[in-house]
Amino acid sequence: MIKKLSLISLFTVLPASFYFAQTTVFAYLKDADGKPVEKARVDLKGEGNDVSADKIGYFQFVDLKTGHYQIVVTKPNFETKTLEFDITTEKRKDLGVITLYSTLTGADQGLAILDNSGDEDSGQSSTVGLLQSSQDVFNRIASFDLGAYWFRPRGVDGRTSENMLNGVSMVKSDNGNVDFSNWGGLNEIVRYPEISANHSPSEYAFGGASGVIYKNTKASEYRKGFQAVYSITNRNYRQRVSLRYTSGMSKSGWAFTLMGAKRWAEEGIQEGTFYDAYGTYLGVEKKLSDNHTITFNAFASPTRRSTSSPNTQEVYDYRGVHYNSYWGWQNGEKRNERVRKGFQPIFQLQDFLKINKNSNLWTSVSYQFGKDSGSRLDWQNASNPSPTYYKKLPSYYSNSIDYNAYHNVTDPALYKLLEEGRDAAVENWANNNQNITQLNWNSLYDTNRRKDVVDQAQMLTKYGLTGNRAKYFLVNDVSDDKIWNAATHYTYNFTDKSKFLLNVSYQNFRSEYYREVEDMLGADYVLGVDPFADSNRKGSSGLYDVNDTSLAKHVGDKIGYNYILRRQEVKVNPGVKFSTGNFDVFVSGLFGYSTSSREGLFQHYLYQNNSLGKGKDFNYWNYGLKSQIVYRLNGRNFLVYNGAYFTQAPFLEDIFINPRNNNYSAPGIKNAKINANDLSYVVSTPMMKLRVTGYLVDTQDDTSVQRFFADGLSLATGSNDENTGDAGQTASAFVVQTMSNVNKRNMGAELGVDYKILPTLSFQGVANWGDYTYRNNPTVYFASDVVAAPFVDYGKTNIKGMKVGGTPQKAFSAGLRYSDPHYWWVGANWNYLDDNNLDPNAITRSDEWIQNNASSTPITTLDQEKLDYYMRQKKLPSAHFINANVGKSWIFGKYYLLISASVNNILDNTKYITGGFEQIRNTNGNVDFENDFNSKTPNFAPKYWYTQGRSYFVNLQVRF
Amino acid sequence: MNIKKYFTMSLGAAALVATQVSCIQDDNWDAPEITCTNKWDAPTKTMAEVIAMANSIPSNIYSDGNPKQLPVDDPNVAGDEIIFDGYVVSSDAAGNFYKTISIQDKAVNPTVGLAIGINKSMNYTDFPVGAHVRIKANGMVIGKSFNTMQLGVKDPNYPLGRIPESIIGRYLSGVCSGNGLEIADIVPTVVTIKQLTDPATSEKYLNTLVKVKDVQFSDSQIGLPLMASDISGALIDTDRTIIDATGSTAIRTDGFFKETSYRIPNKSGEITFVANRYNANYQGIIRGTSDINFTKDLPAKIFMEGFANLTDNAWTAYNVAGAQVWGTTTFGSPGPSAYISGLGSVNEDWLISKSISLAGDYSSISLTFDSDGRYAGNTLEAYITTDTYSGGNPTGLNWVKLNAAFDTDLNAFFANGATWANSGVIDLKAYANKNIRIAFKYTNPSSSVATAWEVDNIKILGSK
Repeated sequence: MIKKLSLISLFTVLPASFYFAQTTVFAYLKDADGKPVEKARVDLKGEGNDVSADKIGYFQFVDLKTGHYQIVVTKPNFETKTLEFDITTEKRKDLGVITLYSTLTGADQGLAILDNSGDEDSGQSSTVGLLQSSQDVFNRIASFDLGAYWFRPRGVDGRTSENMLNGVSMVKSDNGNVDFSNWGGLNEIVRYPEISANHSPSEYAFGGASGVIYKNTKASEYRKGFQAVYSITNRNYRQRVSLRYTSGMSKSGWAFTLMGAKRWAEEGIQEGTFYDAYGTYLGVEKKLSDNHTITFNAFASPTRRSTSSPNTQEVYDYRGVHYNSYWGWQNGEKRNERVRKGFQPIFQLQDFLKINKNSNLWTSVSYQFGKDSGSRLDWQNASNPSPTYYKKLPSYYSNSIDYNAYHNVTDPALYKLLEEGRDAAVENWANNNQNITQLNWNSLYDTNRRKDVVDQAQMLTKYGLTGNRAKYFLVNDVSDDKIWNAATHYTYNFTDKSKFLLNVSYQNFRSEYYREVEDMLGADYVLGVDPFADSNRKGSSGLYDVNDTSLAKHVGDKIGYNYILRRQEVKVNPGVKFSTGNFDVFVSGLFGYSTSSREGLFQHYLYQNNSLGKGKDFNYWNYGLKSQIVYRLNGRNFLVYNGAYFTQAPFLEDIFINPRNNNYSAPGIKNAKINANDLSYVVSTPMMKLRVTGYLVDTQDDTSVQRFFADGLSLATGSNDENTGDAGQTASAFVVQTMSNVNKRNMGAELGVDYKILPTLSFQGVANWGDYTYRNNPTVYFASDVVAAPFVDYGKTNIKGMKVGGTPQKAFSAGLRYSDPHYWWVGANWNYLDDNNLDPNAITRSDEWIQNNASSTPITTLDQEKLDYYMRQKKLPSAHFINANVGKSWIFGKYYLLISASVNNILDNTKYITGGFEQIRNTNGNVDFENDFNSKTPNFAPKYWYTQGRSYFVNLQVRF
Repeated sequence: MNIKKYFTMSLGAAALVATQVSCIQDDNWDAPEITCTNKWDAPTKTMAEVIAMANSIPSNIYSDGNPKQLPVDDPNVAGDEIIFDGYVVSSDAAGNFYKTISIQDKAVNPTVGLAIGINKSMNYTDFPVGAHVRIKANGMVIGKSFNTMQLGVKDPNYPLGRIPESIIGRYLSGVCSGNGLEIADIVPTVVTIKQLTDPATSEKYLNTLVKVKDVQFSDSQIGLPLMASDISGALIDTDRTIIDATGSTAIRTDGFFKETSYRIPNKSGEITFVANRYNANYQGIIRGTSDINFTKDLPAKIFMEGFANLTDNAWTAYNVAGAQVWGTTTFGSPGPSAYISGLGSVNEDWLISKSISLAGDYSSISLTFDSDGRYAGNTLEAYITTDTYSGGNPTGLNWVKLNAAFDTDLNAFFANGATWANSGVIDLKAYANKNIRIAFKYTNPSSSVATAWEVDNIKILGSK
């Protein structure tokens, strides 16, 4: 396999026109351990030159004329390295040692988990996607081995990250998230970004507290030729194919890269989910001169996939961690109500101009548009069809038995009956009677198609409508984006060791949100009237849009809500980098201004003066300062300090408490203020890479918004049904819980180490000991479609000292990796995650919650001991996981073949809860709450996502 | 180069094949084919037979329904199934039936009805009005709940409880017609309010769908919301009164009825409802306000008199002879009413209305009033005149006697309006656009023979 040594570098003949300047450029390639890297391929861009490094990693280019050059160093199993340099008059130019980093850590495996984001029920967004390959020893290991279990470095809200593609921010202004599906499957294109970890300053943007990721997808930078990848896995999707072709830079200065990818599953790891996603990329690069290059990049990635439900523990106990309540049989196929579809292509122009020897100006313009939609079952004046609706579960009966026992009911016949009810439900769930445990589409169609003369008469007299009204129907919640970006990145090198940077960006975000009818399920029309109108406000019209006179909605018609959110934002980000003595200093500043508004397209019947038309502008100034100081103890030991203080304006969905219906903002929403500091000790020797860091991130005045579809909400007119203890008239509806002025502290220590025991065997370990807590008792507001008020003030919520949920706060990983010189490796590691908690539900810990509404005094049945018990935070179990990976590469002539495989969670631990939430309801802490809480299977138990068990990923990559 | 091309092409082809081999479900779903099979083949009993199995209950016992559990189906014994059919007449779509379904034994001309308790709301989506249902009643409990026959299960708080949702299918199922649930056209039985509220005739209508024609809400409730609210604004269970020619009864709405904005119309017409009874009180339960089909404008109230006194409407009580004179009494239908009794002397007494304008181009004008008399004697007389009258003895005026019916049962006065006599509709169309007075002339033949008369509820109504 190892070819004969070639001491002489190979290069092609240069054009004959170069007679005068004849500079030789040379360098040595070494790996991270300082060992020479042989046979790497080095492309001199724009020149059509390529050479290979020799056995000692040496390569050279001869006879180069004056100008600016870029070389791209590629070698299988190593990260591609791009380097720029200038040639003036020197005879020989030494580029020194170029370090190549190994990629044999299974980059593709790591990226396979980018698809967890974006279920609106979750109320939390996964930030796993931000964990990408990095040269930092801690982050690299944490991302591949811990990221799969929803570990989030430092517990910092992922929405404070910055993700730049071709010069512009890909963070959506509405919710602060990045939609990775916009370039899903195009791993090779977006791989190897430049990363500024955590809150350290970046050359490209000011960023936030959890990293700046910057990637330019220049068409010429990819390896010339074809690359095909085929992967098999058992996750959200089962198979992936991709094919990339890169032309290389032509003599006339053109380069292009094309890539297509498809990921799919007829059924993914979760029952009843499918996956059907395409990713396409076109990159064109035109080199106008040595100093001027223009690129055009387009990403177009239509995706369709269906999602799976979070469930209560009771449901998991019956049906296992792969159970999904969103699907049911229809015509012999599994039909899932929650289908997410997205197609939001991105078009980007970027101009790279070298103004002179010292200054560069990069300018980007980007436009993204298109729709993203998620379907769900809706129903009108009918009962919740979800198989896991609490009244359909065995626990509802066992809780009723307890309820009656508590209220001293003694009639044995009643208990017999409730027990029969319970036993029937248990039987259905234990034996998986899928008419009960899954959606029953047939019954929904049946209901819709049934003639109901009274209902028809009602609709005719009230609304003049004829035909069968849909009781059940599918709707799409659509966001239709139009996002313009323009940005410049200017650098000026004072000297080799000092540099000035200026980034200016402008974003114009506009997105229209609406709900549309997707499928009427056999009915003739869907009635466009709020079914909760009567309980919301007596005698109200219930019209989502009081100006809308055609209330029979059909497929494609908008229903429910329709509004536009807009934000314009300007950011100015100057920076200075310099080295002096043993110090490297980087200071970056931010001045930003944004103006946000909502424009309602519907005049909602409850908020007739505050729903239609453009609401007031919400203007926010942002400012910030970041600094990094590196102190070189010597060439191998460093002290690094990163400090940041900045403000962050609330995102659009944080400003507006219930934007579907009105323009109101919850009181007290303001810029979050983040003060982040860390201090690291870094060792980098051929034998050992080590980083140990202490960090402290303080966040003040943050806004926390959770949006849920909740069951068991008490309606305004509701009275209790004494008989069963359930609120007589309850609803399932969309609710919002907003906390303003949240103070949090994330502190802890990180350790990452990569130690070579033998040249071929290394130990890799990371540890994170975090403590992420709430530091005050913020005010909590509640809003819902079934509560007529714009929002309800629940007073202070007593969460001070509680843990911030959503990530394990303690995480450890230790592994060994053997890399054979014959191009194969095997590795395994052990991971431990602990101290993961459910984010505290603010309402059940609020002042209002302990109030008796009748007496306006605290509920008498509660005492401090009980309160402590009920308000105690729910801690999630810790877990161990063992992961392993193996791979081998071959070279057959021009063909390069890499097969890698990884298995996560080898022991198939299905007891680990990756996330979840406590169900939000507008309740208070009365006796009924206590009974439910104390039940083994509460009606309103927390809902969880579980880790999906053992998973594998096999990757086959071919290059030619 | 060729190899590379072949390789590329074959790889591309392979990728294409791989892509196409997978058949991921698209968004186009055909409506499912629905087949229907009957859960139980045929009824073994009629609904009336099942109801007859209930314990008999004294009619004055309301809350203890003395429910009876029907025998449990023994799988080893053939023929002990209690299965009967019914047709759904209630609908909880608008919230007026809460966790109960009313069924009757036939779609047309039912003979009996029954309510079933189910611990589940939104039952109309499963069993819309007209749904043909089959009930296997073994093990269920039947009896009167608040004086209405109900089928259910044991419950601590009520005579009969509701079937838990997860076991509804043990007791209740739809009956197929073709490939779906059979939904019959229910023809409401046309009845009078008297038939519904007379204990002698009402039983067979309970929990069946009935229709009352030529009916209106009571005058005092016109314009009010159908649903009343308490002081906090919360909607409460409400009774409103409907009146036809034979009597009156309540239309009851539940506090959770959804048509909160409906106001009682100033019209008359037909109303359809499920007949019901709560203890002694008869009530009708509508499925929605579309059951109130009132299309005729109510006539204009030209003159209304309930005799709170004689002064408000300027009645003239003229004593032609005798010691007594017209006055008012606290009794009446309802009290008070105009009253005279001439015992002790021979009387002639007139009670004369003010001048009443019948202007307005009415196409019909009617006069009605109610009367009640006691003790044998002369019948009261009613008159009309178009002459001007400015006080004094009226006997010289040109009075025309009206053809009115007066009470003939002179044994006693009755507080209950049902035993008063109605005058019958007296047509005053001949007096349209004129000014008239009406008068009641009282006479008694001797000082010892005198009927005491009460007169109430004088109404002159005009229709365009």
